Amino acid sequence: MAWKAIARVTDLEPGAVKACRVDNVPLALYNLDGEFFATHDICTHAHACLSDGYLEDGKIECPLHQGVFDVRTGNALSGPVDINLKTFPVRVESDDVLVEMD
Amino acid sequence: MKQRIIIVGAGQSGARTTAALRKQGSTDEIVLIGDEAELPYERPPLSKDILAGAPLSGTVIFPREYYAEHDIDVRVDTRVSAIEPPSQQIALADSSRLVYDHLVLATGVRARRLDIPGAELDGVLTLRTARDSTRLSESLTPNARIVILGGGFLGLEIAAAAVKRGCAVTVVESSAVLLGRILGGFLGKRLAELHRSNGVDIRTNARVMAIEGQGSVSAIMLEDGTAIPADTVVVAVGAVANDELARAAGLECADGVLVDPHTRTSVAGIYAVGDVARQRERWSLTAVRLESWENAELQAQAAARTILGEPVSGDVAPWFWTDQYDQNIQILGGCEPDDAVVIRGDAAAPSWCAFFVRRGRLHGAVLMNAGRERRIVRQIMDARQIVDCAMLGDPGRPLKSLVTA
Repeated sequence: MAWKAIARVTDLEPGAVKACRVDNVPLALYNLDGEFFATHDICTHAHACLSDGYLEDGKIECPLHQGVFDVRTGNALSGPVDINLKTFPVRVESDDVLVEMD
Repeated sequence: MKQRIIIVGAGQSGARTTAALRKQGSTDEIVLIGDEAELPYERPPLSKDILAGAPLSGTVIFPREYYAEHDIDVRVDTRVSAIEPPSQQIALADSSRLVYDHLVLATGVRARRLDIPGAELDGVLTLRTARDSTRLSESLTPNARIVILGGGFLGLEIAAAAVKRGCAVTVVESSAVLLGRILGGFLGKRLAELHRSNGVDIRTNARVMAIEGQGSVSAIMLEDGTAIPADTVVVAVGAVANDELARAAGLECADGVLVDPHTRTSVAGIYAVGDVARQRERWSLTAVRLESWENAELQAQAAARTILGEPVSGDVAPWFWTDQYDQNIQILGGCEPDDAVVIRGDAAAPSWCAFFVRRGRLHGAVLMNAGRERRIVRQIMDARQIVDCAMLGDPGRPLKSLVTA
């Protein structure tokens, strides 16, 4: 368990999603109206980067096959996905966004 | 009072109908009957991941416990031999009978076969079921000569998988261009280039006359006399609706069971969903039978809601995807030869969109490695709003800014 800085607060506009990599784990970092969240970046259905997907209302839609996940909980909401997405705790320290890795 | 709902056909749409019924709060007796040995599974991976070596278990929709927990009587390896609407019964192959209050037909399609000499030889395969996929996968050994008859989406996905496995692959297509109905063949030309650059031999304008071999296949013979040696031949020339039970029972059919947007057939109490259903009206299309993951899902929802007396959700433009090599292609809506075509971005680049505009409205779209745009494109299509072609074609202008609703 360790907190790692993965981005600067200014790297990500509200409503944006960005791919990051920590300890060789691909992560998607989201800014939802100023609050940051992180999930695993690879869709649980097929190999696709969710950070290339469409973010709206706290939901990320996979660019490949329309699987939709709740960014806050990782829950699979609709589309061909049944397996929830892994989420990671996030906190902001001054200008840094930190994520807690297992 | 508790009713009995029987679903005939245990593929994606059948299984999803049972789940949707339970999700909507149905406490009725639910029986799901299928003639395959496996529990319901999704078919899109059969021509993609499974041929690349992924396990079949990944395509199974629900584990066995799901059906027990949700009190769904799932019967695999079971064939239905007749439907009798007057008595609201179905007959099973073992002569037993079951009474239904509601009957959902989800019998799917089967691979179209070629009526040519040699079509019955060993090594001539089709791809529809998990078993077919396993059998084909076993044939994809390094340097095996694989000849695919039919250059549609299925044939091309198989070609991509076979090349990755080290096979020598030929695709034989009778038309002058692949996928000629989409973008006037534009997409087909791009895909032909993609496959050729990966080493696939694509032969267009090529009509197969016979399959040759002693016991098992050794070659195919084209109309012009060319012989193409083959260890395995895959026939991928489309599908035929399994609508025999419905036709015999007097339901209105036309290569598929005709249904309305609520999935109701011409006979009260009987519904049809998934690949076998031909919907009289869907979005701005008429009499379409959609063999797609999304349609199987949406019609399952619609059938469950209709049976339970709930309104069905809004009508959306049809959507499907194909994955070939590392390319993801998504197609929405429809296209007609006289639609105006607007290309957004550089069609020689890895990612671009093509739009089909009809009477000022977005009628269809091809998204080449551009899945991120799908949501907005869909929103514009479903609102049936008037679009400005110049703006659509300007990659500098976010599609989101075109939404007026």
